[in-house]
Amino acid sequence: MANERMEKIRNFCIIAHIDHGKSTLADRLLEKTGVYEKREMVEQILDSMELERERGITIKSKAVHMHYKARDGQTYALNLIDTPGHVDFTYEVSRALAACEGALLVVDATQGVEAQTLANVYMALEHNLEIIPVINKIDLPSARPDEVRAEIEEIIGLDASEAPRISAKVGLGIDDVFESVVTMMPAPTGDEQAPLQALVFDSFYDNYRGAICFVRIVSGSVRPGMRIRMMNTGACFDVVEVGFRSPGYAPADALRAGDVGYIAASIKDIHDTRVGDTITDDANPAAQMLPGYRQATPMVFCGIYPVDGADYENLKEALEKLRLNDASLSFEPETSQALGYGFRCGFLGLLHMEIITMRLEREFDLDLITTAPSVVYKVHRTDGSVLDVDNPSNLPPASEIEFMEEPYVKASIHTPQEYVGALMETCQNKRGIFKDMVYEGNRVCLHYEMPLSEIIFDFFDQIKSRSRGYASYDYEFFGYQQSDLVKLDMLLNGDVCDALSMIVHKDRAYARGRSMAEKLKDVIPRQMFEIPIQAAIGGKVIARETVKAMRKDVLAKCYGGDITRKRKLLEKQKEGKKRMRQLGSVQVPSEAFMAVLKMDE
Amino acid sequence: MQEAISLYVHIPLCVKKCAYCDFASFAGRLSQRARYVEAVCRELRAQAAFFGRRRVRTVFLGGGTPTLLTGAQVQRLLDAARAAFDIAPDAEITMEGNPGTLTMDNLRAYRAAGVNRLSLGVQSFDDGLLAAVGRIHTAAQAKEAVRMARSAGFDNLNLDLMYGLPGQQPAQWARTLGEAIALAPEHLSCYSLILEEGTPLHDAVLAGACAPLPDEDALLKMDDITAAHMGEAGYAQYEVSNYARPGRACRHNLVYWACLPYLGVGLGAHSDLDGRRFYNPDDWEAYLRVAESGETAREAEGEQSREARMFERMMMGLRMVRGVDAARFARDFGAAPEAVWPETIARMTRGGLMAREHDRLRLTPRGMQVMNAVLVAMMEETDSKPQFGG
Repeated sequence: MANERMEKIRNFCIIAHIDHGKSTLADRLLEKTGVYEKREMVEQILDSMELERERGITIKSKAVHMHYKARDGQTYALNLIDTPGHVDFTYEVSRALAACEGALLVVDATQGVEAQTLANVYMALEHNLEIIPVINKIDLPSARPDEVRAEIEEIIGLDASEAPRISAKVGLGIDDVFESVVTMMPAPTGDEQAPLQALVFDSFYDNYRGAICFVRIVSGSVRPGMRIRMMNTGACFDVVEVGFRSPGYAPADALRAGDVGYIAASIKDIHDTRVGDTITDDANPAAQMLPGYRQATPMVFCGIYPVDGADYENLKEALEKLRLNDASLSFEPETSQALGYGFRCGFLGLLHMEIITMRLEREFDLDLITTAPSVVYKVHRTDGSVLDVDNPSNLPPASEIEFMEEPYVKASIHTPQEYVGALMETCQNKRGIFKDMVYEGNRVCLHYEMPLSEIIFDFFDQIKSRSRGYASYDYEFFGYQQSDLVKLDMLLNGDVCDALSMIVHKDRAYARGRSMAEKLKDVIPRQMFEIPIQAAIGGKVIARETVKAMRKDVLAKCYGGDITRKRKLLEKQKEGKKRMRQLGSVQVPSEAFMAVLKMDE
Repeated sequence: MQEAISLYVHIPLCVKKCAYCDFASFAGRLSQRARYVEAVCRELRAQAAFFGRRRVRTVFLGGGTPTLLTGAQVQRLLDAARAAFDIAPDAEITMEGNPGTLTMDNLRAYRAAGVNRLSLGVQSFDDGLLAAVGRIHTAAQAKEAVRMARSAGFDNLNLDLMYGLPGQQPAQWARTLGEAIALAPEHLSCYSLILEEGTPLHDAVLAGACAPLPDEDALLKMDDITAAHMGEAGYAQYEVSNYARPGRACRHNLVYWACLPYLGVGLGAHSDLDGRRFYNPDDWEAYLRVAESGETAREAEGEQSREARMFERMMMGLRMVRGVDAARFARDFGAAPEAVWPETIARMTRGGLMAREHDRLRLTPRGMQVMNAVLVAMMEETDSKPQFGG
């Protein structure tokens, strides 16, 4: 009986403010169900990527399958789905949440409800998840579980009277968490006899099996040998294996409605396994796709160049490897006068861009220069043609441009009431067009239409700082709008540095030019000669700064006969300059290209 | 005929280590100084047996504190040097000394032994600063030392001074310079303090346990003060940190800066001789063991590449105001400096940091201030080109 089977499945995720113990709880659940032996738990299993651990964020969704023998004597199949935690990956998160019926909300018994707690709860509520609060860290002397329980009830409006009080660190109360999952979260529903509908909520590339899809079976079933069709792309594959991850591959005879597992079908290209797509039976297809699919289109572009030109091929190989596992990363070769040969890369957002560049530097040991991120502008030329420009250097001369359009997004900002004023001001400064404001209890949701180019700057930081971390936001691309845009050039020692050019709104050009010049003045170290820095629009200089010449750099004494020692000192000094890029006669630190983005206006 | 050389003798003995010092020298080994002198004498013989009885144009007894040796010990060392090598009759024979260690008898004996130039580590005429950096003498003792040296017959005198000391004000530096000049030495060295890792002063500065070091503005002001005082008093700058009355430049140091050959004996001493670079152990026991066995305790630094030699010629030569002998450079390396570093030299010349006059390539006063950056630019130019014969 299908229902009886599904009665014993629970699909859930864990949500929490950073450092409230999400990963530790996940580890503990896996350990208790024997997915991992204690001694094997060298590190937190779900956050396996170094970068993820370091930043305390999860970048890729993952699902782990566990078996739990409950107090009612029944054994339940539990699927824990870990989700990314950043607005760049909002779409990925929404697909992962769509695969769940419930969420564990971990709240730190010493910290109480915090900014991300709320933001996460809102997202879970949007997906109609049953939220079970869990009060963690009760072993700490400063724990105040009763107060925190009251906070959860007052601020979030969840009944926390039965919230398990646990310490994931010392392993206290873990069984209560399991019992809550089993007794309070709904079992999945779905018709096993209906045509197959499997929601792809993540995919990754396995060197031996090709691209593998993580799926939630919404209806029907899938088994090896079935010919499946990706409803969005239309591509068809023959299923080789299905099963669960725990966390190794555990093949099964079939995945049925309500299951969360993997499908391997010798898929060569990860781009055929799009997050949000629906997999169906090619012979007996579902009538329609599952809702919510969005194609992951790169929204932000930047140039990535090796500091050492000889690393170009290595960079190319590294990007290819990363793309195997990341369908939302795009790249193609480009050249810059200032930086030489590199790649124009497309990302979901700024964090995605930062993560990719950090992985390139760490996992592939590359020294990189990244240029200012840009969105894709539509340039309408006087001859009637339309040109997509994602690199300011490719902008045609002003005389050939009839008008330009830039991408706009619908931004929704959730915030406690007291920050509304400050956040509206921020949105105004970012050229936002106010749409409406919706009250949700003592919280407010602001709706704005904003140029994407403003969002990719420092919007995230500003929103967080002006709301003391309590506001969260999401955005959705909605179209292009005509805009008064100009190209801003930076000149170093009289020469335009193409890698620093940017397209900006005319009204902002002066301010940005001034602030870029000031920033560059700060990040370019003093050199032997004075270096003028200028900002120019269409050949007209609008701001000027000067990096003064260095004043003194000489060794007073020469250590008697030990000449080698002196040479080594100079060699060290030379090595220290390795991260500098020679642009004409000026040496610019690699960081300068990114640092100019972090501007307080 | 073999090239004439310079001879350096290292005396690694001190009453007490100064807070800024990272040189090879030891406090508390005075009882072993006779043994050390004998070991150096043996090394001199062993080196001469290996390199031959070279003509020696300059001798430098450095330290440490060579004036911790008795007159007889210095006599013994210089006799051994004369026995081993052909010391020129007009050789410059310099001895370094600490004003806190001098006696009239010793000074007379040093002079009689052949020492004809005395270099006194005065550092400052400010007793507070002297104490702050762990010097064992006072300003008054320094003045007395100069008087004694003169009366012992030293007519070629250098005073070592330091600036950029913790808490030092430009006005204090001006006073020290004034007092030094009033003593009318033939030569003045003015060293900007280099904070060396592993020294007590380094730790104290980092920990904030002493007055902060002067900032760049103050240091540049002190540079200006130095230039003004020296010019007015008739001392010409001939190297980054060195000033002399006409004809009184230190010939021994000029050998280092011109990359001419020298032999260093004693603990930790470095040599550059017959195209080889080597040095002695800087461990007390290790040095004595080898020297007393009659061996030459040379650790080779390995072959210097042509590129390294060319670079070092510039690195050392550009320290001198008159610069590098470009004609000799071209003779030795088969290419003029302008052919080795065409871009850097052209850029530096255009920018007013370098100048070529006849056979010499030199840094301008402005270029001298940023010499490290100029040298690093040369290294980078070398790196950017494919290696010869590679």
